Amino acid sequence: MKFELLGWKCEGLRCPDFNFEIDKSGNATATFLQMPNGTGKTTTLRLLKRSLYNHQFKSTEIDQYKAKLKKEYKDKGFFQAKYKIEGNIFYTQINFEFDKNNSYYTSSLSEKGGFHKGFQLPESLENIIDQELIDLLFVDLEIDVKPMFRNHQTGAQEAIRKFCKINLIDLLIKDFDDFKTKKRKENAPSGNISVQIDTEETRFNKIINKIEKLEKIKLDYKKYLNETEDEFNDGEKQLNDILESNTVSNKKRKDLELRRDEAKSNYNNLLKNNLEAIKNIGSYDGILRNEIDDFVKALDEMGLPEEEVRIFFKKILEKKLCICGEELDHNKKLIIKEAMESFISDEESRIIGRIKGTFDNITRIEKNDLDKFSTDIQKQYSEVSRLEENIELLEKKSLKDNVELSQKIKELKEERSLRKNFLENIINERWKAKDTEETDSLVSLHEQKLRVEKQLATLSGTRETEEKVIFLNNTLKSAMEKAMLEISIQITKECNKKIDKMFVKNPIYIRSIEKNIVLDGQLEGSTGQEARIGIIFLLTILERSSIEFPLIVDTPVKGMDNAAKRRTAQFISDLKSQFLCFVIDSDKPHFTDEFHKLTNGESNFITAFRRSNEFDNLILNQPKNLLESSHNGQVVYQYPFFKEFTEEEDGN
Amino acid sequence: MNIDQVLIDKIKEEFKEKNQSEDLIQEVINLLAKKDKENMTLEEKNITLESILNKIKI
Repeated sequence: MKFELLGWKCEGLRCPDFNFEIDKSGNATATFLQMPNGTGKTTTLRLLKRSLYNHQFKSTEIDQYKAKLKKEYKDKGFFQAKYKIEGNIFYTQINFEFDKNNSYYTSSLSEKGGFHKGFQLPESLENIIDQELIDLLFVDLEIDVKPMFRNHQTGAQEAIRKFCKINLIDLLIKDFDDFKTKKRKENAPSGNISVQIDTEETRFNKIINKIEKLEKIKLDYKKYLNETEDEFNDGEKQLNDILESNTVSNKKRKDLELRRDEAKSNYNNLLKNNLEAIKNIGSYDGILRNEIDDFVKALDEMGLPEEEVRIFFKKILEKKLCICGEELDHNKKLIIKEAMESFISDEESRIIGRIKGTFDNITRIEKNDLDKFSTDIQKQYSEVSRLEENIELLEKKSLKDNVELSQKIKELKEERSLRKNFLENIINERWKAKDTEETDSLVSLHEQKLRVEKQLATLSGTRETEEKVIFLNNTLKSAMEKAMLEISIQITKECNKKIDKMFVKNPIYIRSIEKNIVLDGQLEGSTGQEARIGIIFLLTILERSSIEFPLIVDTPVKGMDNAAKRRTAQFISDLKSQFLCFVIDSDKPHFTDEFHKLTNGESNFITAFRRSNEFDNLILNQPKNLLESSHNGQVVYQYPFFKEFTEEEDGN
Repeated sequence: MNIDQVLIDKIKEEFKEKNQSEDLIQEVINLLAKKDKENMTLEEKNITLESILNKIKI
């Protein structure tokens, strides 16, 4: 399937009124669009994205698109994009009513126009395109690609899931879940059981609501971490440089840090030893020993060798006939299984067994005084706190002229650490029997959901459907995880082959792509390195998914040295699908001029700028058929002009 | 843009390992492909889901 962007037109917006026709010659795959800063590159990229999915514009966003200059302000404006899918042309248009703070879509599925109100894509694209896909194909390297390298982000993993259609499995699992809920509701009995079902359903809904709430928080936190990453790293580096510049204080600080690390390590060891002692119940001394002694005796009085009881139940389940002589059918086995679970779980049985086991060996175990452990831990903790306070005081002194920055970075550190902890630990905490739907652990909520569903299935008599759906969904999940792993390995290999070609000196390879792109031997790359690897990654998954979609990139060579720019040009010149990028004049040496040479000029080089007296003079001698003018915007289609254009308006 | 072949192979492997029939495996893959390409009606979807569940052997 071949899908192309043919052009776009905008009027009455903050960027000048432009009318772009991307491929005038009709056979080029790459387009370079030179727009000086302040001409609306970011606005254009954003509106191109919005032109392919039904975006709900908020009033604050609408306000951002209106003309900034008073003399250019109009009550209405629009952005119209023209596309081609398998030879058929279609349009989508975003209409802005700035006077009413309103916006709406119109679309046309035919070349001749005839716009209808509402957002509509041709049928062949409807099921393929959504916001996630567009965000991957219309890329701002700073905003969209950089996060793929951050360890708390999952952009790379999501891109693979999207392009390789692994997400379909999630939809299928949801379908089966919905189906079993439907069956359960159809089977709901009346009377007392119905009340129990209602209670469980209420709990079920609370769990679902909490999961949805946490998923939203997860996204917000990821966004926050991404948005504050550069500010935090730069600020921290700046503060560190200041601290390092003061030799005497720096030496003192390093010494304190060493002692603090040592104290911390001692503290951790004490905690570890204490934990081991706590696990070894039989070694307790003093009052605690007497209490456990009573507990073990009570267990024995209750006749609890628990594991034997479970073996008894399990043996019954293996038989064809029950001890009462009746045949053990599926339903009866279920009842026995439930009785076994409610008596004591495997895990509980093992815990109690262990307690009794260690207590039986009491005479052979060395005694542990937990009170002494506690005193030592407190002492060591105070030492760590004291050293940390001293470090903080010393740092405060050294940074007395940078209080504001220091305070800002401290706040960011705390906030980021809280959010990282939430993403890495809190939502992944294991399920515990005492957990309720109030927990912040997604793992626990999913386990609770499963348990409530099982209970509901039992109450409504749909246990068989429930078990089959669980079996099927677990099989699909397992297939999905294994596929994801294998595809990630294959994509990593393919990217590294491309890196070999693109990075001649000091190549940086990808070690793995699980959640994010992990580089081999370094935590992160420079902006230029990450940009190149990011483009390689996106193109690799594009190739793999065998779709010919346009890849639209803002500032593709930002932060690259000259050699890297040349290799990027070479790499892009081999592409089969449409490529469009926005450049500024400083991107041209070694990049667009190299590309022009490589492709013998068979590419589109377009320049667009806001009109002014100075710029109008530049086009006086240009052929009219290569110009597209409006009252405030000018588009010029021609390589020589593209190459020569170097002026940028001041103040934009 | 097709469903990745690795994913299809893994689905086949997983179901085979769990002793499920070829018929069931094919129906799951067909459903996946159908979900990808077209909008199924609710009725059509429910019939397929029921048919798949009926073929599962636990």
